[in-house]
Amino acid sequence: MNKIISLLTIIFVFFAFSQISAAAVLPEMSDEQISSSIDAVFAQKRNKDNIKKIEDFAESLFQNKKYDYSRRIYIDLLKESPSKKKTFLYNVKLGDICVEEKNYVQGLLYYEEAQSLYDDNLALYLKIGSVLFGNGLYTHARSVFLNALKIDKKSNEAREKLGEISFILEEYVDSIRYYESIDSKNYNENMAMNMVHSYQRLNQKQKAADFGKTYLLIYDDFAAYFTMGKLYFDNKDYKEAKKYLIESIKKDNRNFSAYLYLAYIALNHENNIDEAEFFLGKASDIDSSYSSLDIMYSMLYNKAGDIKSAKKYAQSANQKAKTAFTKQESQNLLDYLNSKTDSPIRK
Amino acid sequence: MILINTFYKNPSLPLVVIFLVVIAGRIRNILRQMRLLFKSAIVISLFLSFSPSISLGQTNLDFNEDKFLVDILWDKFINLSKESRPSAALVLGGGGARGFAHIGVLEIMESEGVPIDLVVGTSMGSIVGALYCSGMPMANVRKLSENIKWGEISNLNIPSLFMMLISEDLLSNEDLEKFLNKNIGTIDFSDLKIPLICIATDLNTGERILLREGSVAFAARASATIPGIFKPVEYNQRYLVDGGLYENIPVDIARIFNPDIVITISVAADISKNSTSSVFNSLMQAIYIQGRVFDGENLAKSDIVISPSVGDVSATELNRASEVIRRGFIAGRQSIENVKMILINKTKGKELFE
Repeated sequence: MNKIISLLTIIFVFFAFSQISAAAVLPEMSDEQISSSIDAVFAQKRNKDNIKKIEDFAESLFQNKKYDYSRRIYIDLLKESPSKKKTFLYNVKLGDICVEEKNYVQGLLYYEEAQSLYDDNLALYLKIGSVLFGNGLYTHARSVFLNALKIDKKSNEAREKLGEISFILEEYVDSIRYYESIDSKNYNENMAMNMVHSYQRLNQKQKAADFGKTYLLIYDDFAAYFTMGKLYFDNKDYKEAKKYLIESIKKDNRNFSAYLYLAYIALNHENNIDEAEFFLGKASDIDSSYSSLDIMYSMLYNKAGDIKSAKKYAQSANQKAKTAFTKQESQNLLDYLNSKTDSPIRK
Repeated sequence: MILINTFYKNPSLPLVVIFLVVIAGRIRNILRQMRLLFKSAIVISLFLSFSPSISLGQTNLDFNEDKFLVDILWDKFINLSKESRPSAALVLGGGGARGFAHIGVLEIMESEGVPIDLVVGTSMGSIVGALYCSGMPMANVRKLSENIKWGEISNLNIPSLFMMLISEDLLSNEDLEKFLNKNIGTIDFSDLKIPLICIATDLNTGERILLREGSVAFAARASATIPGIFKPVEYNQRYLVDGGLYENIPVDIARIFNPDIVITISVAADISKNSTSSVFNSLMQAIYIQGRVFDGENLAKSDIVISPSVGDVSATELNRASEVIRRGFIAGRQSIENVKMILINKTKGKELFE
């Protein structure tokens, strides 16, 4: 029995090491050692096996972020006039290296070089589109992803990116169209949230709420509940809004925004000053630097009849204001309170 | 160097070393170590296999303070009575088919509850203004517009254009008046839910004419009568044509009524992109160039300008209604927060914070 356990252990360790051995070795090698290794592998006779090993080595260098060495290998391989397929592969790899180094222009140039060899490679289009997308060039990225769809009409990645681009550009009809063309099994959280927001912004409020509830069954997290809470708040259904916002803080009790919205609902729609104060206290524990928090406190004390405290918070809000709008409104509040006299009785 | 090459060629070499250690040591102690290693390896492999997605709480970095304040103050604003809130005038510029964009913007404003106290429209702005001020929901206006054709609102077609050239007899847009009467009823300005002013031009004197009484459909039609194509509309011994001939964006008219805020929707043409290949298009281009003289000044007098991206759409392209409405919707969505902020800013503290 002990021998069997030993044998099983050895097999397991063997498996683990064989998967990570190259990667485990590389971080331990000095730059000089790596450089020498590269010279050594290139000194070997060229055959299919050796080229495969060189490529694997270059890939492992890339995985270990040794980009300069990886790049050196691919450039050296290109100098040997490889086949069209290999030239394509090496240019894509060089592009990947540049992208990792955030040298996007050079990366795109390598990708373009690769694309001149094979213009119908879906993966390459997706890479190019992702680089453009990541750099905020949404219109260009969209063209690339549309071309990707021409190559493969069923590409979920292309459709997802097109949906996201449309969402960012506030083209919600298109956003929904692309997302809905993807099987719902492949939805991720970002897509689901974008769809809820898109329906909401297209004034399809019921659809937004229905979709949001379905999405909650999958993504049972604070962000999902908060999105639903805000959705109902915007639709003026404060009872439902409160329900979802409370669920949101149960999932994450540091959800600052949720506490503020809950405080507002309690104060203005339920006339519950104590509950509003409780929520504001929670928000204050997280971060007391926001002007809007003090505006809420000021509104609370005003409602309670404690004008002195209300003025104090309005003054503080004005000092803390970071945007022109917040400054103006806190001043508006302060001017209004200054026109009132103190009334000490709390309702 | 030899060691490095050896390692690279033989990834299983570490295994051999361990095996030798296992054999060399006492079996019982080695077993204990292997059990520990086994458990650790399982933990490590589980960790590697299942990267837990760490859901961070929404940090304060995500909190948009302006958005929150707009949300709560707007919630209070929309419940204010007319007397308690600032007054808002809406100016709808002319632009033919580009004017469909007004519908998209108004859809957003309607859904967000933006209160409008006066509408001043020119040309297509008058037509959309008439539909809006009559109380027709913008979703219905959208449906009405998406399938509209020239034949429904005029006798404009190829044969009639040909006849016009031969006979010098202008076309008629009387059908536009019938279309409006059919959809909003044969109502007068006094029946409107929101006050409306339609701007036309007296073709004989060049004066700007404000139409604020009588038939709404007639006034909107007069405001949208393209000179040189449609017969001028007779009104109190005047011959009225498109208000855009004088001024396409009548902000100064709106200002006469002292609103607290003026919102202008400008659907100006990008004259560099317009086709001038036909008589009709050339005439429209001439009107745009003429109207541009005052447009810049008027836009500067607005509190907020919403400019849907429709400069590339020709005035005659009614078939692009859906697309243009959508562009208006996008512009409306992008501008609505600013509209709310301005209205909130103009509201007295007493009304918002009491």
